[in-house]
Amino acid sequence: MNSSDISYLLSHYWSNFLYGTLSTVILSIVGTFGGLLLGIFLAFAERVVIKKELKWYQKGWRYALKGLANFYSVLIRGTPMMVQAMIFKYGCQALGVNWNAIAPGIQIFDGWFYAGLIVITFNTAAYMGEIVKAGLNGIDKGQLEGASALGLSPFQTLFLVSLPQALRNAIPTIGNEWVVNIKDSSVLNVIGVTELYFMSGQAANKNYMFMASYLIIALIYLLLTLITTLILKLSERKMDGKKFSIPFFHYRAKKEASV
Amino acid sequence: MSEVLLQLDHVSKTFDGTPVVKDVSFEVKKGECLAIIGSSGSGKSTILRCINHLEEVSSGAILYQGKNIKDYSDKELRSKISMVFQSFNLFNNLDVLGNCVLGQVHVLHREKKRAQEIAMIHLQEVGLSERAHAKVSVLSGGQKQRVAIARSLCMDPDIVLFDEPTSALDPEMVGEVLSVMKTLAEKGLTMIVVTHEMSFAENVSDRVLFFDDGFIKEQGTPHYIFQECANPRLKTFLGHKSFSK
Repeated sequence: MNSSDISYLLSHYWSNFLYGTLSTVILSIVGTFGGLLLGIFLAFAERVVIKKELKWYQKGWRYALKGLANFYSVLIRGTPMMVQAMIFKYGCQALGVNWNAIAPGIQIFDGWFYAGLIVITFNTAAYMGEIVKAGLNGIDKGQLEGASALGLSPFQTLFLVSLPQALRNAIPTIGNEWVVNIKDSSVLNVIGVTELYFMSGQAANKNYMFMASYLIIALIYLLLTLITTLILKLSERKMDGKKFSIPFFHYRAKKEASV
Repeated sequence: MSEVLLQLDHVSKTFDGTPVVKDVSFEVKKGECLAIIGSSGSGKSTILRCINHLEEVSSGAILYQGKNIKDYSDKELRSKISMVFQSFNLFNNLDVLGNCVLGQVHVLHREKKRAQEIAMIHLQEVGLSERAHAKVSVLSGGQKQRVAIARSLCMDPDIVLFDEPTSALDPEMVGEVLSVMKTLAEKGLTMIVVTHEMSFAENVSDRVLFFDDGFIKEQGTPHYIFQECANPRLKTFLGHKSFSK
């Protein structure tokens, strides 16, 4: 391999890399934030309180909800996403669902891309559920009591007091999941999702420039994860009410500087 | 000072078979400042938590304006009887103003702007209007407790329960909180104060209850409790307190 291989691939296959990068970015963002929403639901389900004074059927559905959420979490976290993707693919085929035939409104991505979105979102949800649950467990009980003494309902307390703090505390871990998703979305190539790894493979196979191709995508993955980390750092600082500055460069936004 | 706001009728509370409050009865009149003193574990805080319905009584009844508190919704009751805790229990995700506005908007359904105006009035009352936009995490203990008091007052309660409001504070900050409470008592706010501050109980309250082992062992005016009462248990308790002072 020499540097001309890299420049050849970049000049002839830039659109492949760009398309792959765009797919990976969308997969990671939708997977992370869609997974977070589902994860919040899973965390709530696992934390449902079952009081002694409830009627048997009220207890029954609560136990069922808790059990299902717990089972889902164990199942998904205990199996690799690549295997889940394959089971999803062949499961869909067995049920007669043809993702190739699903035409999106905007013809940028094929049907398997949307299948990939579903797999990564439901996979991430299991991890996010645990993250949110840990965040909620970390909230000082006194604040919950304070909310209760003010007359806030348990539901209001959850959404107005507990969840905002749990999410704030979980930002580094949520961010870590985002970074993991950027990289792990590459395994979705096994079901034909045209993400970055898949697209670079096409360029490499056609030209036998494997090393150059994978070096290029390694740099792209690194760049994506660095940008993601930076976004998370800035959002953490913003939520802490600190000055809006970019780490390392100590850049201060004009607005802050003028204060 | 004639209308009875709160009535406790033979109230007992048991935790896992262990009696903590035993056959307690007393009344609180409108505008009265009632101090509850006693050693740790004597059931003082538990009785406040029962009044606020944070705990269910095991037997007996608590009547607020003649009606059992069980017949009020928690929302309704707690907007009338608010509580200030030893450890402040402020919401860390909100600033000072946000802490004072949250209950008003979501429990009393006030408009946000109106709620903010009311919050500012009460923050001014406790001397913290200039810290309205500060994060609660940057406040001192005394300031946090004053915010907690303002938050309570914002709900326009008929009664405010204070659960050892100065116990978590260092001596320098106790004074600022007690001074706010003294002003509120002078303004005629109905207060039940569980406290280890004997000077507050003696000089500010209208009546004092002495709790021991879950029972009310003595009750009366501050003068009676601190000067005249010959109960040896009370004398021992007060003796320890004056020694610790």
